[in-house]
Amino acid sequence: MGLIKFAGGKVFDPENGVDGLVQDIFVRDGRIVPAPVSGESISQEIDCRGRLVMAGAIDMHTHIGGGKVNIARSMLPEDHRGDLLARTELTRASCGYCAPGTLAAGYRYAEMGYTACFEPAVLPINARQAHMEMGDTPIVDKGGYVMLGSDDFLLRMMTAKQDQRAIDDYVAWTINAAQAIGIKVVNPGGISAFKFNQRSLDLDEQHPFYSVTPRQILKVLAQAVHDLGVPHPLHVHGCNLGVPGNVDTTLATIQAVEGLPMHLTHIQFHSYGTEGDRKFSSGAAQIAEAINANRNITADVGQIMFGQTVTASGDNMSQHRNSGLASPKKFVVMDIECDAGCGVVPFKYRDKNFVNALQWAIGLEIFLLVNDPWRIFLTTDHPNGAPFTSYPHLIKLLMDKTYRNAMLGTINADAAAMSTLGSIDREYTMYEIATMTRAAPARLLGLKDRGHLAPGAAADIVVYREQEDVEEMFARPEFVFKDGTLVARDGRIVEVTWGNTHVVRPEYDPAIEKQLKPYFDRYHSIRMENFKIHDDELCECGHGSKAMPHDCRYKRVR
Amino acid sequence: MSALTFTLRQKAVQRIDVSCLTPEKVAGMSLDQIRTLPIHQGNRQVSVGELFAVAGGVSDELVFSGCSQLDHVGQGMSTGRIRVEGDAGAYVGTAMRSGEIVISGSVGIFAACGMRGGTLTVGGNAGDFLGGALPGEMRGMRGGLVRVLGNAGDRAGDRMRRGAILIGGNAGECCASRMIAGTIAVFGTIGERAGYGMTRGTLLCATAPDRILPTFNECGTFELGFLTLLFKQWATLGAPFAELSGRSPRVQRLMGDLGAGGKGEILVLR
Repeated sequence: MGLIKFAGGKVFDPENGVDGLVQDIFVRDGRIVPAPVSGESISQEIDCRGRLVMAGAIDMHTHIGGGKVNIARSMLPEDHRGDLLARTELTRASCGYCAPGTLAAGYRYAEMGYTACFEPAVLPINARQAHMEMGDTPIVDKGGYVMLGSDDFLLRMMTAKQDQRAIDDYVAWTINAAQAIGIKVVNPGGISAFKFNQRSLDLDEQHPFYSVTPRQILKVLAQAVHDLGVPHPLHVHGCNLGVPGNVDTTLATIQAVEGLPMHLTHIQFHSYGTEGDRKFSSGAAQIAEAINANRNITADVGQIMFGQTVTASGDNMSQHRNSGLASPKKFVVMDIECDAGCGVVPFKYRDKNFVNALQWAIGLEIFLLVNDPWRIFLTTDHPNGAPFTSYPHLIKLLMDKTYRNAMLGTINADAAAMSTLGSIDREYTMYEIATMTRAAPARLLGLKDRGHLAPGAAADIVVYREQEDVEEMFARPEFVFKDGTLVARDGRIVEVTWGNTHVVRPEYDPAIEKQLKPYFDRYHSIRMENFKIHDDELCECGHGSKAMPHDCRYKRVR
Repeated sequence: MSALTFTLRQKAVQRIDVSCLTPEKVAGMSLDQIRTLPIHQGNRQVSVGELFAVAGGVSDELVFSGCSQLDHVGQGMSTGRIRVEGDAGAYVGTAMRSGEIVISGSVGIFAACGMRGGTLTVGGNAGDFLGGALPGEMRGMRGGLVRVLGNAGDRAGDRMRRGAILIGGNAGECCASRMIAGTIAVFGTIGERAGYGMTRGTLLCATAPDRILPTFNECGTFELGFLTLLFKQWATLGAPFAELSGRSPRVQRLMGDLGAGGKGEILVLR
């Protein structure tokens, strides 16, 4: 492959401090390379004059694979009937708006300039299925956070007061076995407590069976992730999701890890107060203040957008609580072996509904009140808040105050009156958007060669035609390159490639298997050896995908 | 004003999705514009003109030459009239809102599924799930009137929510299964397990069934005044539906399905 020159574009590369400078970028063999010495021939020149150039975007929290997504798909045939994607010469047929098939998900992400997506809820027992689905998602790179915290084995270890070293070994073993890039905890201990007929579990409430509290679980897992040097901090979906007044729980959760790195996910759902006539109010200001003050904390928002979607979560407790609100009226809440549980509830967010409208405003308040774009991430918790296809619209809401206030004028008037959104003047800059969608997620996940445009980085490059309407601009980039291959042009797929799976491989003492093997023999539905996912299984879909290991203990200096 | 006619050029070998041809969708189009509309045949997209000879004037009445491969006739239509001379395929009148569809022959499965209003008349037989719910959907037909002069297949009125289905002939198995509300009348016999999972609604049988599910409770014989009014309303609907007009509203009433709340009723004319 020859040398490709991206000539004369305005480059936004926050990792390297480049803010809209006109620069040339050179690519050879799927990598960004330094400017060639004179005389070297350029085989292809992409005219980027008057265009914006950024690295490929990274969605660090999106449910695109794994058991619950498939449940959502099979539960919502009307979603698939209503949104058909016809086959073309290049792309295969697919369907689905809120729970798209793997093919539609990959194509649509690539068309929007996304080149990597991370599935946040890979249950260890479902990891094989999750990787099969992610392996069948075209173009984008993938990775998963493996879910611990309500699994019987960990809770037994903690009840038996096993030391942190042993827990570190178990956590590392699980990351390796599930081919994951991080650890997620969902409603720590709560999913398990649900099975013991508990319908809520507060941060300091003792589990009804094991002698542990959610706070202790968070602490040992955050410690383990830190000890192992896994770059991505513990990915936390906290207690009391969606419960009015949970802002206090979230603030306590931030303190619970005692300064260890922690990522709070879809924090919008955890920022509710109890003020006002309806006992439901915004806790965004307190949450933003806490994030601003605690540099160990990062968060993604989980913005909601109005319209039909489906909520899919491992948090069976909150999904069971919300099941009465299902629209259309059907839901699934299920137990998943010794590991966890899951719940799928279709949901329609309505702009005239007080609660939904306030949720929308709370998410935007958090975006605008957190100062550091390196520590707040753009997500809708696809599909829980809205399908990922709403990202360009969300970016416009963040970048354009006039547009945002016009939208604020159309929602439920009581909710609009309760929100401080209208008084916030901040507008995100292009540089900040590039930070929160590219550089920051790559850094948070420890992806050295993604999310930036310096020589050595993978050539995941997006070229946007500069437009007045940023929604239109981000919806249909002019060129999207994945590893140096032009995959989408003007919002249409022009070549189908297959991404790889990003993983980390923390070290552990193999003696942990002496504990695990009898446990698997006694309680699990499969044997320990079969539970582990081998490297060659990641390419079983036949697309040539492979595992891309990233270093542990790697810290990029800012 | 003559009707707009669509005559198949040759015998269809693949299924044809004619959901793009409803009175409101072709309104204001010239014949040439209609001929160039994209239409799906099997897994291929072709133009209307390739499949059909299109003739007639601009009209809110569409007439198709019948064929059992013709799917989605009048899907979602909200105005006008569609006539099919002969048989039609699956999904006839799905999610229809208003207007009229008349099929002189028989129709396939899922006719009038999720229908919200209007009338559908079938001269021949109807397939399974007449007025039912599409797979995955929580509600079937929720308004309108369906008349079938022949027999209906299994699961007629599955998850039906509102409206009326009149079946001149026999109904297959599990008629009124999971019915939520509405009225089904069967003039011939009903198959096994009628009213399976029925929560509310009325299944009226002009012919006494051989067997009823054990989860239906015999409640005695009544003269129900509303039936007199209902029969009077059906007086304009032609044979055999009009024949009940003036008849005694004396019925045996069975309540069920007790496995699903038991507020549904099977009424057997005496």
